[in-house]
Amino acid sequence: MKRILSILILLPFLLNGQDTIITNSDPVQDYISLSNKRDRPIPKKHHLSTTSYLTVESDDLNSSFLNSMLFGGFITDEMKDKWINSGDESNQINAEITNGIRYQYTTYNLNSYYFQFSDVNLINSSFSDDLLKLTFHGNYDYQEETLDFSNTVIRADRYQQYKVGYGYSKWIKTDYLKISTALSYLVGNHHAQLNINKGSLYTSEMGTYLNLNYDINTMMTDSSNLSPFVGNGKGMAVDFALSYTKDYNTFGIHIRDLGYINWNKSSIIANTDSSFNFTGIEVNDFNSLPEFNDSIMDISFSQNTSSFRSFIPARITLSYSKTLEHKYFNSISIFSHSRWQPYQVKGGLNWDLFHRGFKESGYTTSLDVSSNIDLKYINSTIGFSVGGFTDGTKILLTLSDKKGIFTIGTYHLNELFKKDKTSLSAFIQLQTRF
Amino acid sequence: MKKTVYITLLSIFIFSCKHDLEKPTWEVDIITPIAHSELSISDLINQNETIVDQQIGSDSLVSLVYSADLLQTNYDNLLDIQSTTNEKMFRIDSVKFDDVVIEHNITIGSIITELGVLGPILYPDGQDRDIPAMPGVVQNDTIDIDASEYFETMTLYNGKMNLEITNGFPTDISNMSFMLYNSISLNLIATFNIPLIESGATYTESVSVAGETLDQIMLGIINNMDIEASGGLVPINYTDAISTTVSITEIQIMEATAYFPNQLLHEEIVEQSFNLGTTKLTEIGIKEGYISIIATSSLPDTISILYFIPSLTKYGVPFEELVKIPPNINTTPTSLYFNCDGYIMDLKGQVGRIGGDTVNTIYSEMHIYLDSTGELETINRVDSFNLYNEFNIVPEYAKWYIGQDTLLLSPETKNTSIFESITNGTIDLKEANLNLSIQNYVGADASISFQQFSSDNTNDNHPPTSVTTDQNGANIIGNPYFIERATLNNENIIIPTLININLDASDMLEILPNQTTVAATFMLNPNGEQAVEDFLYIDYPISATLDASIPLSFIANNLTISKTIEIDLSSDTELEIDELYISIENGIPLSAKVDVILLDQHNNTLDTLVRNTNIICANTDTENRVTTASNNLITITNTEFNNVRNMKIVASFTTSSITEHIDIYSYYTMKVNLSARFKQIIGE
Repeated sequence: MKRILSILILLPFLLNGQDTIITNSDPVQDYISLSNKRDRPIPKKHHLSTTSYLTVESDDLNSSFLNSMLFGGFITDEMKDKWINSGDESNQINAEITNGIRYQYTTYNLNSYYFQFSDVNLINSSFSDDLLKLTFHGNYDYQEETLDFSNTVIRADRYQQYKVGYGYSKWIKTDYLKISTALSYLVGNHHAQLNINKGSLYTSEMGTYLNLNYDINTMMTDSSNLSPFVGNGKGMAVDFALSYTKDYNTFGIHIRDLGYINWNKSSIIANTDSSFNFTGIEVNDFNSLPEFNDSIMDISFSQNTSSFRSFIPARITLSYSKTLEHKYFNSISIFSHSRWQPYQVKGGLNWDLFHRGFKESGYTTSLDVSSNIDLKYINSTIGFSVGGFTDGTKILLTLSDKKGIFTIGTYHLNELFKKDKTSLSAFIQLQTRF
Repeated sequence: MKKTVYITLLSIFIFSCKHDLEKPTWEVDIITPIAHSELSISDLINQNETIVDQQIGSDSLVSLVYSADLLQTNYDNLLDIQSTTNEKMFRIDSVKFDDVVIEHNITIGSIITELGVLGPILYPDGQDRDIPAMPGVVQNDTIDIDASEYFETMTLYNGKMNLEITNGFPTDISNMSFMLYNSISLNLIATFNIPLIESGATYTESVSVAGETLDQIMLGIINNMDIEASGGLVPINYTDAISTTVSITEIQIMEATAYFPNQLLHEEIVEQSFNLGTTKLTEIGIKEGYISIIATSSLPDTISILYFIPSLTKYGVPFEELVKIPPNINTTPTSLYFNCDGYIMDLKGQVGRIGGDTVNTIYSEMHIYLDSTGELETINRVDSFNLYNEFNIVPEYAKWYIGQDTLLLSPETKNTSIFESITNGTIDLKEANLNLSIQNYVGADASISFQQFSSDNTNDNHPPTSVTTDQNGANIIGNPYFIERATLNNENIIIPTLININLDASDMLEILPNQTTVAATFMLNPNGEQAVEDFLYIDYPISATLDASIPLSFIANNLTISKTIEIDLSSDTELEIDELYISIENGIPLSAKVDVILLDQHNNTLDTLVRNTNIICANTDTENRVTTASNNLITITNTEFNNVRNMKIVASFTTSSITEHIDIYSYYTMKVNLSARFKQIIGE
């Protein structure tokens, strides 16, 4: 029973692993994983859960960076150097805060219907150390050097997601097939995106001239109303899942939140693309010197208001789970997670868009391995993950009560023990069945 | 219960860690260029607002050039054509009046009728009869002499009353007594006694009526007339008459109220000469000017003046004007002006004059007419007409002999500010060429002689430095320079002549003068009148200019230039500049020691931006030509610019060699870059 419960509670959650924004624990799936059909109790019809999820990940920048950016304070030179010198020359930051509630109804023959509401906040950024140098140090220390901040991306989204789904279950002899689909309606609140495709700054000796090249695109929703629930866009997304259970093995493929948001016409699209060598104002007549504080640079943006489309991060998961006959380890699961989120549509739906989406998501395909542990008073899941937004190996841990009502966990257990944390995540779930 | 605990713990967990979001702050260190400039010697020269210009030779050697007018001659006095004629006055005693003629007839028929009823019976018309003597056949017969169509009253100072009687009777008449009276005053004007007028004969007699006043109606009284016997049969024709004609002739009026006819009152045909000193002109082209007639007339009728000047022509057409002088009221003269712009004035006098052509003289004709109005006018002998002419002419050119003129150019000291910025040091110029160029557009010989030509630096307690010799080795001071006359080509275009006086002025310039003094004597036609015709176009005089050309090949030793420029370095932004960098890439073979002092609006010193900073000269080869530029950096820290309104720059220049002259080429440049380092707190 405990095993059943543990699987019931945790497996769906782990099915999505670290990549899960909203846990969509599926009691049906939990149920069918039991080895003996006769042992399978009839699942309860109604399932209600609420989840809060927070993650902040960076491959190189540690928690002091995050603390400073969020909570202020003076950034010293020592802190700057530490941030710049940590890790490789490329920096990734990804942050997600999601709160949601879900209701699922399961029928007699294990088909299910569900409705889910989520409030989603996403920040995804990629930039080079040179941008950090320029931003935090300025260019004085980098004379006769080129600071290259090409391929800088900052994306931030906030939206609400209304999802309705249906799961179809079918027994094939002793094998079990489950097909799920869902359709989401997205209400976009805010979107801000900055792409510096090409950017570099060369400072000559003693600052006699600056060589600046840049190709910057920005897309931003109307900022006249910064209310968190303002409707600046509408979109849709689809889910698709397929799982097959044979004996004690379950294979699955899950595509979640494949969708986009169309932002309204008052959105601002701006771009600028230039390359110039700035040597200051040319003085031809020393009897009439120009104003000392005359405008030095004139970067002109081509700006217009127009609607645009952005993609929400689609999550693609391939999974394998096996139920174990072990005193403590109930199961073992292996997941491969990918993300797809291109910056923008260029030229319509084509292979380039498909390929770009994976690259531009900033997410390296991750491999998660985890196992459910049935302890005396609690159930637990423990595992490790490699890939994603960070380079290192992450340890995940979840804890829940025996009934599965309350679950708490983190995907970055190893970071909790570090002084300089580069990642942080936590989630809480409350659920009930009736 | 457990659920409640869990939810409570969860809530505490979430909200206990809540922090207020704040912006971080950090300091960035930025260096950025502010300004740059690339200066060549040309640019440096142009920075100084002086009249010094530059020339670049074919070898790119830069020369300073300076040009100034030394002499501008003025010939207004030479050709002063302003003249006023003497006033002429004409009395109206020349007014002419037509002869007054009045006729009257006495017919035989009227006499026979007066004989009574028997008269026509005894002497019928068309019959032959023997006429007996009839003494006193006419007695006290009055004839009206009506001259009202001529005058109302007339007092003559000269005139004749003429009586002409023609006897048309077939018999003689005798003992005729005729008297003439004024009808109003009844004074006797004239008496005629005629003893005999034969049949068919005419009797005439004239008496003077000078001093007499005549009324428009006069009475002629025939006191007596006898008819002599015919001495045979004679035809009786009632229309045969004695015709009496009374006329007044040779009328010269003292005063008259009469109908005056149009008539020429006066004409004046004269030659008028202009006093032009030694100048002898045969022709003047008039640039602008006028001839005026100022006239006063007391006559009651309008005077017309026909003014004809054959000497004054435009496009071959002589000057002719017909003007009216109305009767003047309040003795206010009438002024008439005739524009003569563009005219040519022939000054040889009247065509075909006796004695041949002359000079400085015009020929003119003036005809003065009385314009009758047809109304009765009263004219007095003392009525008069006064007028005079004025000639006010600005010549465009003049021909023949324009005279001998001497212009003394008094010693004139001019201040020059070219070197005012140089406060110290020395300069040794390789050469400095001064060229005095005299261009003669006048068709007359000229000469110029300098009494003084020097430069002086009043601050150095040394005497002025004078010019020495010209290109021919002659002393410039006191040497007369002859300038040949200009010529006119077939299209009347002036071909000027030019002389150049070259001298080396390096000594004069090396003292860095602030004054120049020039005194000269200029003479026109120094050798007097020549056989060749002179000409002079006012707009094309003789001019002398001074051109200086100084190749920038010199030795400078601490040549110190001080200049204050206006500059506003205040800034509205909160940007605080930590350091300013002036990067100088010096490609000019001059080193400099520079001080830059910041001043406020009252030129009080605020701060010294740069003190005794050396700027190394460019690297040169053995021939003192620049090979590579030198790099110099001036760092300026901790300076407040807010109240700065002026900047004083003191720079001492020394050439890369102080023993050999250094050439400055146009392609030598100095690149100056100004950049600033400032620290900015981000997030505040």
